[in-house]
Amino acid sequence: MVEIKNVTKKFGGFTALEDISFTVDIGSVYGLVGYNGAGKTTLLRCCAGIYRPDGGEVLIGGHNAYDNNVNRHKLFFVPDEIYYEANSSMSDMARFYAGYYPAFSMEIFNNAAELFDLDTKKKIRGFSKGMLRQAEIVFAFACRPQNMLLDEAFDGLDPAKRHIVKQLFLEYAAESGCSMIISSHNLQEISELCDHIGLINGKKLKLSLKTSDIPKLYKQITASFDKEICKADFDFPDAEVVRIDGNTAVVAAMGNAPEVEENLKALSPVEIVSESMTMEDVFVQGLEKKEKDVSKIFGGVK
Amino acid sequence: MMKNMSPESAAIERFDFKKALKDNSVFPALAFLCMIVFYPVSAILNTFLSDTESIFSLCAGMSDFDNFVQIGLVICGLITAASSLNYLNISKKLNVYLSVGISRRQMYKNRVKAALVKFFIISFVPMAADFIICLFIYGFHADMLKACIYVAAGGFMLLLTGFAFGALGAAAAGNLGESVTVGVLGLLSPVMIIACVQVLITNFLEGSAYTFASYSNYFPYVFYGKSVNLVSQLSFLNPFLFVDKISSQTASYAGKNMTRFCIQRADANGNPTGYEQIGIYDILPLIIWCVISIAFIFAAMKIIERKKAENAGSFGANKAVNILFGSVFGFGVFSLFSYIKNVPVYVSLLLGVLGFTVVFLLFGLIMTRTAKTLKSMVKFVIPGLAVSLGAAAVMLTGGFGFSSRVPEVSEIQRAYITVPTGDTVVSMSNGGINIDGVKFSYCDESSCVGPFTTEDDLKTVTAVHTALAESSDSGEGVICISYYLKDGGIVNRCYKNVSNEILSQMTTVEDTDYMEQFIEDVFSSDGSYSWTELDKKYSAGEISDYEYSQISELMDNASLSSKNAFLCDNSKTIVTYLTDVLTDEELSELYECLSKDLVSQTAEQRLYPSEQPLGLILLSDSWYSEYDGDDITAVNGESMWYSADIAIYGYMTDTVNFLKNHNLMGCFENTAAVKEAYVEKYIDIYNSVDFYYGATSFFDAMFSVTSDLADVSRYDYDYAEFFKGTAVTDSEKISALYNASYPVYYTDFTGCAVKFVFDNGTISYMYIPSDEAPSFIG
Repeated sequence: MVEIKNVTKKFGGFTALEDISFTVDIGSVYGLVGYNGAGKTTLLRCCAGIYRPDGGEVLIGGHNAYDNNVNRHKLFFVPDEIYYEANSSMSDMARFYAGYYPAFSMEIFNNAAELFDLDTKKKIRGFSKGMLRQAEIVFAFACRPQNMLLDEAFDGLDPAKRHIVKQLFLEYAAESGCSMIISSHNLQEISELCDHIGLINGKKLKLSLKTSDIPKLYKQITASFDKEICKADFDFPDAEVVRIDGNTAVVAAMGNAPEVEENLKALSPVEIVSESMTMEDVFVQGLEKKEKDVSKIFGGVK
Repeated sequence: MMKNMSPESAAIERFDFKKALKDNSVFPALAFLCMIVFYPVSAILNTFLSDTESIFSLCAGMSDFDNFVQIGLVICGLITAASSLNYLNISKKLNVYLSVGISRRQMYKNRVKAALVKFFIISFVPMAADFIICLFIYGFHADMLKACIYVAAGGFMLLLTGFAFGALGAAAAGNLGESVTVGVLGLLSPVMIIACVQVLITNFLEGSAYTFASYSNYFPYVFYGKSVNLVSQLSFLNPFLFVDKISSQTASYAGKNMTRFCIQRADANGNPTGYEQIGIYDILPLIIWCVISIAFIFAAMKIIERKKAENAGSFGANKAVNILFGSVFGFGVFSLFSYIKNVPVYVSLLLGVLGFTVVFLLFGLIMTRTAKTLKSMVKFVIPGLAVSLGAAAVMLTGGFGFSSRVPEVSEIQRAYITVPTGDTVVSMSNGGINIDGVKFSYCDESSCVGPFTTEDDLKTVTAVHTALAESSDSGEGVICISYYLKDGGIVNRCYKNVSNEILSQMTTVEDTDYMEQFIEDVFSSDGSYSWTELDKKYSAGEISDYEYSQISELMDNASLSSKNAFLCDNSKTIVTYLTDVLTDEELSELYECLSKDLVSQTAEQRLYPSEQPLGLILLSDSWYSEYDGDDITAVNGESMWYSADIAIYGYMTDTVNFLKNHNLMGCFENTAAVKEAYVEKYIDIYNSVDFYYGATSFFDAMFSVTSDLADVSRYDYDYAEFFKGTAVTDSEKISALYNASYPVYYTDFTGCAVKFVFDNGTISYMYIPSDEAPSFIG
């Protein structure tokens, strides 16, 4: 279990994370999403015990993650930049990880490597970006951690490998009870893989909830009226006006769809249609406050 | 700690230690191989391939080799630290190493332990092998064992010191490059700081003897080739060289008999004083650096525990490092401004402050690369500046009594002092041209004379020293004094900017017991010493360095009495070869007379005669069969290197009587008449020729140039280049000039040189002191 309690991290005068809290239960897969530079990697490094939080703490199995050798061998961090020792092969690195992870399974290592068609005798420096990522995932599973942190886990993987990796994660989490935190920009995969999701924006955790709650709590509601309407009419909690076309309003319910629907119904619409939002809708709607006009980028160039 | 660990953690630690032991072993392996070659292999080679009686070291006796070994070991230690701790400064590696199940402290400790094991193998295994080999060759000897242990321990400490600096660098830095740079700068910092302090001492501390190289005869012969140097004196503070003479001197004399083991000692001036067994003096630097290294390694651990992993990969993030090295560089620039002459001290200091600040901020800007971060460093310029100004203030106020310290006569065993006239009483090779228009002044070839040992002599030397220390006048002279105290201490002082008033007091140094004895020794030497015999005795250790220097000095001068003597008339023309007219016994008798007369003669009489000499006796020590064009005087187509022109005055009764008794007084009479005269101010000669090559070679301090009637043309050719002279045609004026001219006189810039051409073709150069110059010279 990974417990993140009020974590704040500063780089000099810049605050990267502020008061972040959430818990990843045993067997849970937590998806971390956010803009580039939002602080996902920083948070994962705090969880891995690499960075010392300036405030709060990260507990791995009940023990502080920072510079603590208790339980840390039960945690595996797959960073965004893959490390391998000079001139080493996967077999060499397997010995490296086997030394630092007593639970390391050579059998899992060989099976997983075979699954990805990776040559364990070949020098890693000749691997492609996707192969490096696969190799690191192989090591992660071979180490049999109880807690796994994956930064941009699907980066560089082809669709087939993504599918395999997703299956492996789900299988491993269910099998071993491993708590996982996965950061990714691929919302589709995150939504399919994670049972929980957290969204970091503006150094804070904007939302943290069960993935299964998204369709219930996040909806796009189209309401038609027989009278003229304006944006101010929809100024109630968790509601964001997407657009108004004549007498029709499209409203995003951000986090409490039933209440928003109730509030809309109170305005006596002629018709009301609700549609569950996807993770991407939530991400875009939740983070992008105003539509960016990309046409301006190329429009003026002759 | 291990017993509180889970089995998993214990297993991880074991693995990590083994990994640390295995990794980063290239440089240690190379160092190990080198040590094997330098010690056990060389012991075998020395024994079977050469006659060197050494227990190790192919290059026994070569101090450069010592330095190579020492620096190499330190660098090996540094690289071992930088490479084994690079996980702290490489972002990709750090992600893995800091996330595995081992604490930062334990991971660091494992690398330190692994390094210690490697260093032990590098330093002790070769020496153990060496010892075993030497056991077979020489048999057991306790001193041999001590030598091996000392060298092994020294090597180990050098490696550990390099590692300590490397560890501190790796802990403080942000990337690998900065890690190595910080380590190297850290290693160099003690030397840099000491060198800067020395610069301040040299320029601001009156009386400081630092940086005065003895090549210029500032110090006794035994100093020759060495400069009195703070960096050398404090070599035990130099992390590269604190293990003195790790191989060459330690073992080169530990020969088959093992009787002279093992370390060559030196006094505070760096002069060898003999060989002694290893003592606390040798072990202390090892202990000091062991403590420093442990402290550094511990400090590095503390820094690593708190190190911000987010700084990995970028440099300049450590403010303390930036401030420290910014201050060191700033101090360096501050000290260099002290070299600026001809400006008031406060101007030097102001420029130094400006230089310090600029360099500090420039370094800060390079490291931080942002004006905002640099701004936060600005206030830290103050401590470094305060220390720099404080150091300068201490120097300028006499270094807590350093400048004014004059040892009590009762404390002194012997003393040396430089005198502008050197030992000109018997040698013309010293002295020079005065600077400031008065009789005594410093020149580059001023000689160190001594040892002065009697109470009266020491009073004379300390009186001059007291005058130097108390004087506030300024001049161009430089006087160096060296005391060897009865308690074994050495006091060296060099006073720059010595006033002419003080310099003029220094004739007292020449009217001393030492000088009397010196003259007697020169003229009474029986020539029983030969260089070959002297060198044999010295090599065999039968005479000390001090004795060697004394004997060799005596031999230098004694040779004057055993070779050649010439009689000149008072126009300085050689008229008689005394070796042709006197037997060896008669020559010895003449030398005895000269000795008595010179002892009785005061320095004032010799240097600044008020009467014309009757003639001159020229002594020469060496003949060379080939004339190379650069020698002082040509005689019969050959040339002499060293000569002494002794002016004979009427009051030198013993010599005069001897010459009378041997009917040689007639030789002094110059029968030729002056035909032409040419006058030139001495200062103009000085300014017109290359001082070092020209003036001192051709018109030396005593202005005695001797011509040989048989070779006038060459003589004229030699000197014409440097003497242009204005012709004086009036016979009365020529006569006045001739009457005022001295063939032997201690020169200064106010006087004139006069070239006389006689009707027999002889040419003479003489000197007219300013106060006796005829008024028409102007």
